[in-house]
Amino acid sequence: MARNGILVDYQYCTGCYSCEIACQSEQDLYLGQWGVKVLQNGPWPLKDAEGNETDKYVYDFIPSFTLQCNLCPERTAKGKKPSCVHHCQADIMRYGPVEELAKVLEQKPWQYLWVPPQG
Amino acid sequence: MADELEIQGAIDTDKDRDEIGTSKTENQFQIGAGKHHEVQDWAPSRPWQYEEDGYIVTRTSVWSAPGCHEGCGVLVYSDKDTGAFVKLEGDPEDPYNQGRLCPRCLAFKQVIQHPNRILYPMKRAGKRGEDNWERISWDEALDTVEREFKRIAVSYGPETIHLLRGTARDNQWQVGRLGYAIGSPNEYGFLSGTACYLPRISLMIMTYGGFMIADMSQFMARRYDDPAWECPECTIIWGCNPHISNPDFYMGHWVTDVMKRGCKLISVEPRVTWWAARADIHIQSRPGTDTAVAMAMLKVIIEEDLYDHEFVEYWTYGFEALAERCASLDLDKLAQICWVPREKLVAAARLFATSKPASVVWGLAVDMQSQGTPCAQAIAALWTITGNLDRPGGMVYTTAPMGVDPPSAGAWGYYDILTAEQQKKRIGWADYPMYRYGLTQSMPDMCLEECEAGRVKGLWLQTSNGINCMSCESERWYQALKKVEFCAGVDIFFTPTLLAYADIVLPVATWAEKKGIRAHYYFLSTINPTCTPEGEVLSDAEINRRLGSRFDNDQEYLDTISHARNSEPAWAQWASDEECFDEMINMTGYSWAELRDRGPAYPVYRYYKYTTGDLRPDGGVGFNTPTGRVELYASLFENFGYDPLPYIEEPGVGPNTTPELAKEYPLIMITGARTTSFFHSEHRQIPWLRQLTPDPWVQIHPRTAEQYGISEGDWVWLENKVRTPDRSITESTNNPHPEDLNDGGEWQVRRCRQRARITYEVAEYEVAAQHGWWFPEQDPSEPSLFGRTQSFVNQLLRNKPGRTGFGADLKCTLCKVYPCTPEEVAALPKHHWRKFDRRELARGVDPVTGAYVPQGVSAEPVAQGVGTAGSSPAVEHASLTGKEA
Ligand code: SF4
Ligand code: SF4
Ligand code: SF4
Repeated sequence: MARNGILVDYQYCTGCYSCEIACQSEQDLYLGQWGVKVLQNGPWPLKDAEGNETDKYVYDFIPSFTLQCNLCPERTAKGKKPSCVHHCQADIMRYGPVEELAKVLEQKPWQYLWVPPQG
Repeated sequence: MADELEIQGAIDTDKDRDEIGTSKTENQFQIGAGKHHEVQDWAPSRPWQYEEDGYIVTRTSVWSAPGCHEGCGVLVYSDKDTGAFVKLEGDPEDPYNQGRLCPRCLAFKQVIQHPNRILYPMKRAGKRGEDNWERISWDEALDTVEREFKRIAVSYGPETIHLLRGTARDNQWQVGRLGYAIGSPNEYGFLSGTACYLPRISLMIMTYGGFMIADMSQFMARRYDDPAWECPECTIIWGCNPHISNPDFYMGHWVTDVMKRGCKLISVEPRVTWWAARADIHIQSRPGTDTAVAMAMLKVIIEEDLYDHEFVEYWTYGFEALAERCASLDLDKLAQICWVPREKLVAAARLFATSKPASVVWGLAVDMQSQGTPCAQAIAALWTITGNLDRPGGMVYTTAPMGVDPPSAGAWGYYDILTAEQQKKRIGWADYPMYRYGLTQSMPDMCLEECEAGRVKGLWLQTSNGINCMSCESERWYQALKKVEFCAGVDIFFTPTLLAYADIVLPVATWAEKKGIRAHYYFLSTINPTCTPEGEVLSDAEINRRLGSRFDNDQEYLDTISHARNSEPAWAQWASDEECFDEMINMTGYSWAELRDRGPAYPVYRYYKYTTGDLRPDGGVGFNTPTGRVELYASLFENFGYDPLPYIEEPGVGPNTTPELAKEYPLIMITGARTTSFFHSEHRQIPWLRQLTPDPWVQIHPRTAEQYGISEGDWVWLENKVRTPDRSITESTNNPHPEDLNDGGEWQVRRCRQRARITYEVAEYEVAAQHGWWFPEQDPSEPSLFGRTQSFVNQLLRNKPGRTGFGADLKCTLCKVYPCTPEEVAALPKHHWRKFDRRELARGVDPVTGAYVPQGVSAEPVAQGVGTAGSSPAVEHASLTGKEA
């Protein structure tokens, strides 16, 4: 069977936290435990050659999946998207066979592909 | 065509100051009422209700309660046998949100089935402010409210009953209309200067004859695929963090959608938000100086000849005057005022003016300065002179969907039910004539003075936590409202405000448990009952109809208070919610049930309406303004004695205005920074949401934190001092404010505690604090009132509206920051909000320590001590303080 995964275009992840709660409510997880957790990098200002802070910033949110992500088999069996993918407000996640997603990954930087070890 | 243009004036201004603007046609809140009922050729493929996997699935639209403006489309799954709510998901067919949901809807199960939800009518069993309640029947509850309000209306006049609401939405007109049944026009929220969109809306109605919004294809059911729509080439995000703070009929993530389609961003924003970090140009302006930014951009666009000559010439009035005003300003000075390099202002002006189409996604920061009105005027001029008005992808006029006039926004029946004499008892209409344009609410700062003077005798609080959300100098509001003789409140949870004042408490349905109409801007849809209501809750509409009819039907009462109703009764003509909604939408040709079956109806949207007569009640070309043109020079302002052109004024408090005060309180404080976890002061008791933001936070720059000895997560004091402002003294243009802020009264030091979040998101000279904090897990009774003063930042803000009665300096004041002492930190009440998780309760296990909780924990609400129902000794000890990042 083809291996499935989620392609994450985190250039546009706004840090809205919908994916976190979508997963928790779907899987009925304990408080403070997550199938996907959004990590925050920054903001911090980039420095120029002289070491002065510029007005360009690093500021990324990155949804990071955990061992408690099972790719929502009950939903995908019915042809629905996984809950986090379905509800992602910036619409930055794509679920599908790794092989296909890898091709999309190649077309655009600032993305990554998640494949759960158990799936 | 333009050559032959003959534009007639649309509004008669040859009237007394007290008469201008008092008619319904002048206050045209939404364009198109009664016009164009044609619907776009689109409908959802699924019926409104169907079965899936043994569940009943119901499509609906989410409007309060809990509060939210958006109205996203959801599918609710309920139990086939019991009808109980089971789960929900975003409706992928709904054009508005396309399946997406924010955390608040995703956590909704914990709202509707919350162990502390108010489920039964109750009366106070002890003193006000004691968490001591007795369950009563609906009949007893409504009898009491009727009796008390009639007594007050007959003794003091019906206008001494004030009706307060929170964000409202579909119940906003219902709150007002209950007032009209009683005979009171005084409906409002607690916010100084009504500094929430109204300053912008009122300005646009007076000078544009309607109001505009950035076109992200939301008027089209096929959205981005509709060929009539164009993607903006550039959007300015102005004083706004749209994906977090814009649940206002405007999904912030539409902006990420257009970014992906190539739209460039300009960010005008004191903080380095995610958007600012992604913008092509970030104008990191000093809080409260947005007018200087806008005027600088206007100056560059006019003087470099980057404006749209044809549009300006044929469709606007007063361009020369605006150009002169800009010419009188010095670009370097403007740059100095807003603390932004001149080159950046020039670059932003050029990028915006040379992008077609271009738009502005603007936020509350525009209103939350005493300059609210001139600031909105200057920003609107930017998109107007660049030719972006009412064109695809530009700034387009909102409409009343299918002619359903503003049921969502108050005022339904205001002009029809209240007599002219009663309308004039609305507080503020005479002193602040701009309050005649936009909504029909009262002027909050003046209402506060009425409450303080003891002239407000009755209080109706409908889903409003005023003293812990919108009120500034909240101690003033808190003390003033104690003077009312009777207070009834409607809500889903107890709040500090209900605890402090309510004599009667009524339980209200959430959006999932009621019928309603969602009508705003883009489409018309029904709110459908999706599950069996919990307890004895009733919808807002039903509560207000049952109560309002008791006034409508009592001729003796109406005669006694001389309520010579203009036309129909307010409520008594309807026997059910559905009948009421049938009437509200009858001009569409749909009944409520037909609209429900049909699904969201998108009226055909037309651009360039000013060329077709669609913007004016008289059908003429042009705009619904005195000159019939867009008034860059606001002729109505002349009638009212305001400067007709945008002008620049410093915030009432600040490094330039009050340098002495700034020495003691050196940091500029922004308030109101939001998260997706909460809607204003709501949701603090929802475990899935509270875990995202367990504590109130204040953002501090790393170097500022170092200077004041503050580390990440420290509890810190935010402090300043305020004097009760004298509203009657307005600062005048270009007149530096005196050191004493023109205000009288004693200095009062105010402070509150939040936790430091150390981040480059703010500049070194500013901090950004969260608003609306209270603690449902703390002691509900006085003096704690759920820890109302611990972290509530509005205590540090002033009630001081701008000259037009609109705008207040809420995002641009001063403060200092210092760490709490270890003793103070140790004395803070400990967290145990996790107890609100029903599942944790059902396990009988302390959710934090894991200790078994033997008895006394009830997952069901109890009539007595509702505020802390479900707490237990073991849980009391639980502490998460310090463990959350
Ligand atoms: S795919 Fe499903 S299980 Fe995995 S994180 Fe998303 S919602 Fe959770
Ligand atoms: S839902 Fe999407 S945009 Fe929001 S935090 Fe998760 S991945 Fe990012
Ligand atoms: S914005 Fe959030 S809370 Fe409001 S309707 Fe949409 S999903 Fe629900």
